[in-house]
Amino acid sequence: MLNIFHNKFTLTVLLLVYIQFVAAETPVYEIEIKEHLFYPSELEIPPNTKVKLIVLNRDPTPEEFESYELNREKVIMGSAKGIVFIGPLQPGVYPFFGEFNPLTAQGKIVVK
Amino acid sequence: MLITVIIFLREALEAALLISALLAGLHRVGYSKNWILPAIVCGLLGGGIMAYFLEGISNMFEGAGQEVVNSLFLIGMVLLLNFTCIWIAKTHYQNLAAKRYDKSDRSIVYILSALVAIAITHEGSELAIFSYAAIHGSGSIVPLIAGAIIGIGIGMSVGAIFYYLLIHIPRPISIKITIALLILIAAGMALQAATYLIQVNWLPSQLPVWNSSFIIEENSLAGQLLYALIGYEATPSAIQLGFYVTTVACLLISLYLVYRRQGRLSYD
Repeated sequence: MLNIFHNKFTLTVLLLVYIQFVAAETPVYEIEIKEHLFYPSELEIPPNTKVKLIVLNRDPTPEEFESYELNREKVIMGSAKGIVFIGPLQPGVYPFFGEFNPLTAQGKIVVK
Repeated sequence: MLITVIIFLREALEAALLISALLAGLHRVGYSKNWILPAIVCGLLGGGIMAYFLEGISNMFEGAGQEVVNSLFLIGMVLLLNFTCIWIAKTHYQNLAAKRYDKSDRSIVYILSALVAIAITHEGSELAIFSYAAIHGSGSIVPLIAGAIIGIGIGMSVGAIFYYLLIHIPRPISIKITIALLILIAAGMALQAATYLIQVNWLPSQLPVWNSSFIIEENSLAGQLLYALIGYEATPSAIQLGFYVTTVACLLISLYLVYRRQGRLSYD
């Protein structure tokens, strides 16, 4: 029975299946940018979890999703989307903003 | 317009600090600085081109294109900085040995030009996109140009002050400080590259190892300056620290090897 682990092919297959399981578990959240505002402006995510954030820019002009606390920055062209992974994070509040329109485009990730 | 100033200032500052550090190193070993202007122009063109293609670039690698390209730029700059540090060290030793270094060796000009051009392409693409957004948003180009001039002007002023400080460091330690600075700049770039790859899940993400916000906050002036210069990060993860430390180690090792080789050559 233990001999299956001696077969490199089987090991690889098991590894890929495991990775699929782990990868499939990354929760996905969406944030929209409309009229230089984030919707939702407050997003709650679980602690110590890697999360996939899809930022949908509904405006015709580009925006840059940025956060010092999260260490993320990404330019998202108008009417396009960007994918940013966040976390694992400890409980707390992590603000983010749109660098091109920082006065209005503000939000926070609330981890609890 | 304040937003425009701040955005242009932040990007110009990163480029200006790098350029000042390079020029200070060259000044110390007495090399010409004529290559700077063409390199800057190339960088601006590169930035415009990259901005033009950014949407396509972003969609590459299943949405990771922007980060992958930026990381490649940064790693490229780390390697170029490695060559630069080695060249500065070698040239300095040759100067000390009163040997005229081979001025026909133009390779350093290409290396430094590439460094500056890549850095400006990297920063410039973001500014080009912002400019496009600003013009489309407000329709008027005047506040954009005014903000850009002010922002870049402030960035260049800070760079000039930095250059002045560097070249006035006392002779005995100035070469070591210049090279140490370039090593830290390279390490900061490597850390930034790691951060981009973590952002798109090409590298694993982890909880931060520490939080040094109580010493220097990233949002503060000092934090922003340190970030622009050596990649200061208040909450680094293990991988980011790994990239940083490995880069410092690799550069130090390569410099040490040059030092040993120079020592042997001087016995000829």
